[in-house]
Amino acid sequence: MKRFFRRAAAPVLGVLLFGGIAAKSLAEPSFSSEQVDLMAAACANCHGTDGRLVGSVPALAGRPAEVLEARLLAFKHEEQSDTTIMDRIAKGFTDEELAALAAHFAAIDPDGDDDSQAEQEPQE
Amino acid sequence: MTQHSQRSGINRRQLIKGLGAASLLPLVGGVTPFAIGGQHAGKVVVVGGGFGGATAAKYLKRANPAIEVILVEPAETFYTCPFSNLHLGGLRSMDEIAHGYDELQDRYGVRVIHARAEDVDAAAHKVTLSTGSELDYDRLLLSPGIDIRWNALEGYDEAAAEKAPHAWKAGSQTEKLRAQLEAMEDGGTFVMVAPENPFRCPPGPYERASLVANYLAQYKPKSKVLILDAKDNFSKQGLFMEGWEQLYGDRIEWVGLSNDGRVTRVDAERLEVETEFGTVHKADVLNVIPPQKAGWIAERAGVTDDSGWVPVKPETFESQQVEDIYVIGDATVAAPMPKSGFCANAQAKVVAAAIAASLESRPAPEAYWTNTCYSLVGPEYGISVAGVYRVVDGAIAEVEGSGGVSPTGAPSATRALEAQYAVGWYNAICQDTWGTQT
Amino acid sequence: MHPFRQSRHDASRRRLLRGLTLACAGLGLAGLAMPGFANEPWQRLEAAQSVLGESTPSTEGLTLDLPHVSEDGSAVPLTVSFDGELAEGDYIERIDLFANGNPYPEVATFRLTQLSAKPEISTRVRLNETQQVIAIATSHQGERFATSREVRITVSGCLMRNGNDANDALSNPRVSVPSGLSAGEPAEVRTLINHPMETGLREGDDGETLPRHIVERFSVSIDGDVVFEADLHQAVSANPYLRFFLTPVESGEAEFTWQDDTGETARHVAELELS
Repeated sequence: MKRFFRRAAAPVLGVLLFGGIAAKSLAEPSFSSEQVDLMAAACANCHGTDGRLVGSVPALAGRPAEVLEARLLAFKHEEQSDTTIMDRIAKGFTDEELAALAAHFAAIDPDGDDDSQAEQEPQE
Repeated sequence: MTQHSQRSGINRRQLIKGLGAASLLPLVGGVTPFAIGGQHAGKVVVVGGGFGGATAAKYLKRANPAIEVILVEPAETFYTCPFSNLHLGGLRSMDEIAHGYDELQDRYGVRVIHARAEDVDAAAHKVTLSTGSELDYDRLLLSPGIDIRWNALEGYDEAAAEKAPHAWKAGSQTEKLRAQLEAMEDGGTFVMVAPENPFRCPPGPYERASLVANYLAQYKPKSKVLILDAKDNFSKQGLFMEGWEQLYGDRIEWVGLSNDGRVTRVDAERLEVETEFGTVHKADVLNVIPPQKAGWIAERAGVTDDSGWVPVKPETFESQQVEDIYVIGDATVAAPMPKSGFCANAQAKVVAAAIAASLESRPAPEAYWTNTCYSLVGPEYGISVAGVYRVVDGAIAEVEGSGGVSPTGAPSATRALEAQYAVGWYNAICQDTWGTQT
Repeated sequence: MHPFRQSRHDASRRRLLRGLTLACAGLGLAGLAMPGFANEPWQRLEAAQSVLGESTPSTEGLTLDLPHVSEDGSAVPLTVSFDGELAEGDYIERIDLFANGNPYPEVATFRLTQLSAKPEISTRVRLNETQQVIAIATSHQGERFATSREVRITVSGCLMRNGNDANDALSNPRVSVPSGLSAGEPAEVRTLINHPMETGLREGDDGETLPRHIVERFSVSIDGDVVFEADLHQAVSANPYLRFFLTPVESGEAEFTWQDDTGETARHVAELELS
């Protein structure tokens, strides 16, 4: 079903593709980088700005996206036994939002000292 | 803790971002062109350098370094209310809750003015400072915290606060109350008067009672804590009561509203309080947490309503009453978000994105907030409340199924872990807000 | 204010004149402020309409003081007061409170006399969700007044456990009465009693609905004559608190009585000493 829509949509997308707009899969919601920044901003309260702070609360910056996403989903579905608070927080987000957050923090250089969301060129 | 080296100045990514912003420039409607170097990106004055204002100033610069950001804060050193209870309990020095503004200035290019904002002319877009000078603004962000409603509680005026400190604004009041506790004779009673809703930091009074009890248990074991409450319910009540019993036995007595707990009159000279139904309690140390309102500059700016607090538009935290003024933190009516430093910090990020968008005449991103509040019932006994919030049907609401408090009956290992996280949380948020840690 | 109120015409003539005035207002001929027809919360609530009957209440003079937002709907502080104009010899005799979003909208009915002649009453109420609280005041001569106020609730009030479950029902009655009273001057009285005010809507730990158990009636008598009464419903918060005014004309003994729906009562006596 999905493939049918993709094929049918391809010519339409071809028409729409100008000005460097990247085509996303029609089935997945996408968040602008500004939106993800704001979503992720509250995490700084415990994990430090850009998730870089190392301490009793683990840092997030630069950790593999799959690992972060798996942790977040495990927190959300109460599969993580050592959790104290992350379950209560992860339940406030959709699975897509948690995936976007994981990708966001994975892309941050833990040793970078500027305040951007990624040290390299934007990886939107 | 690892300290990251700090490099000042604008980096390449920020330059690209600045250029990107310029290319989004709309062609109509009186918006002046952007330029790298901050000439016409907009000017934002932020009043208040606490968890709200300092965070907003930093995140405005992160959003667009070309925006001119001026932070007005009277204090050169900011003492945090969060963890000030640890000073009262003898567990932290004042230096360990102190934060400065160097990082905001040096690393982010925020211009910090140590003065008091005294008046706002919203029509003229000007703020008058205690120095006499005026600042004009494109957008004004107020994060003025709370002010005490003097004499709302009979007998509790500014003079009374010298004898019976509130310590609900950290700094000299905190030191004063600590000194009184240190001087108290063993066998004395620490009486705390807890206010009705809404007030800054719902679990704060009960954490304070906990850590004072912890101090008394060690150093003045014949002494007691009495809480006279204008409420029947308080934040994390079941958890606090469980913890009090486990750690302090019957050292803490709590009298709720429906058992004649509401205090209606204070005699600060005699350290006596009288309740609604005529019971008089004598204290050896008296801590009155009185009725509160938004920081008074909010009223000057015309953003308060008859409750004394500031109603705001939930999506952006713009004032509902005055254009181009935004308000965040304890001063606002943002229920169900509590009045906490953490919420102020979370709101600061939403408002920074909203103001940055507004200056570029584009819509603000969708708002997300998370709040986590830790309370220490004892040095190794932490409990927490969490909340995730969105705007639903035009009002701030908790996301269903999320948030909540620590479980009751948890093992001491869990309580100890949460106590550790509480310290990690404090370090992280202070780093995020002022860039400093202790 | 209403120009006809000053005189002592009989009730029916006054109603006729008021009706004419309303008609004129409808035609834009009178400059008086009129309630928005069919738009006021009390017009849409049957329980309120049954108190009002055929009359259209004035919206001047009656005030409800409530917080705009309450995070805890289980005990929302409320004050209803009247400071409008009444004909000579007239006084507010009855105040009804409603909450139009609650499972049962009736909150309380207060009956006043000339010995409780300052019509200002405070209590604490349960509000299930964001809604309008409505007050209707009726004067001895039949004038009616209405007002409403919206309260936004962020946690449901009817289902929360209160902090003082341990207290026995009808225990610890407390009354505060000021000293040094003057004849005819309002004296502020506060009363409190412990009682769960179980709504009949809550489930216990075993999953069974806890039966309704509330204080239904509160009355104050001075030397045997009832001077103030209240009918309470389950929307009055646990440990019912009532603050009201007495206007005694001589010293005497005031008896306060609470009666709950099991028939049990509690009593408290206080001396009223006039100087």
